[in-house]
Amino acid sequence: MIKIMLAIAISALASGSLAAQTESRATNTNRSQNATPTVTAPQARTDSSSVYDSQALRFETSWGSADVIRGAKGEVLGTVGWFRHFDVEKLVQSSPQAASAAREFRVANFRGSLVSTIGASLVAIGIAVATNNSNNASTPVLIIAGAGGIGWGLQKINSSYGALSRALWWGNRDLGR
Amino acid sequence: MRYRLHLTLILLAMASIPSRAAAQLDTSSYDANALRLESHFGDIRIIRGISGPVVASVGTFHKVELAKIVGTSENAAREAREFERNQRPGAIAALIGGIIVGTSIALSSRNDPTWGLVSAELVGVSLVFYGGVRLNRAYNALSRSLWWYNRDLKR
Repeated sequence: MIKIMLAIAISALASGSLAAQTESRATNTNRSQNATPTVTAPQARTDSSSVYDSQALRFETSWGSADVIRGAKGEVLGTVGWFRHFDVEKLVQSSPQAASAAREFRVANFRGSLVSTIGASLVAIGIAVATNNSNNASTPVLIIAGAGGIGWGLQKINSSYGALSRALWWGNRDLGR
Repeated sequence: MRYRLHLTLILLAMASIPSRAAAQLDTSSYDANALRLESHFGDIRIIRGISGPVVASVGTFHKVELAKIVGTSENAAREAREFERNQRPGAIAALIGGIIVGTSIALSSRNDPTWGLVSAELVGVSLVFYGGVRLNRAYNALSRSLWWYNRDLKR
């Protein structure tokens, strides 16, 4: 009797697994056929997909700043960038790796903004001094140091966006799938 | 009675197996295949998975066929084509504009300003601005493309 029950259970398990695979394939086919930016809720949409559609984060840049955007509808949650602060760390706090990358972003972005601003100020002072008194020996030093500061700062800001991308990637990975 | 209990336990165990397996598949597929961006000395790299290979580098002199990379997702491929349409023209316009502005500023510091130099500066600045707009459009399309691609990964 137990053997019969086990046989039934194993066959049911196998058919269940096959059914799950078939459903998964059908879902993927549906996704690729019906995926539209407006996301009009295809019938075979899985839970994980709808969570991703409504919760997954990305960012879009705009002249030195970046909007953090959630979901397929593109809800803007906040803007980060040149001395613009938005708490990305809090947004992705449920994922430890995402929170760590968000911290890295915050630090690098602040340092980059600060140093590039100081660099730009030095260049401006250097140019102003050069226009008023062209024989001043400090002008080339100011301009070169300023340009170096701008370069380092921009590089830092650039790498901070890499960290932001990583933070959102981890955050999207650890969404309730 | 005992048999019924056994049967119930077996059925409960069976019910939990597919969902656990699906959850594992979810994360492992994302870990191995989801795309992300990393910046590297001015270039942007598209990386697959947690520590996966660099799939492509985006820069002024790199031609990226993003639509091929994300071709499995229809929405991602559409955004990728938008990226491809804007990235190269934007980068070239910004580069040429930058060279024109730099050269005309260098020349005007040594010579008296002329209409030619002022016009060159204006053209250069306009090209940099135009290139910036196109690049901005391209990178936003890139971000959207990867978002859609990761969404449509086999989960």
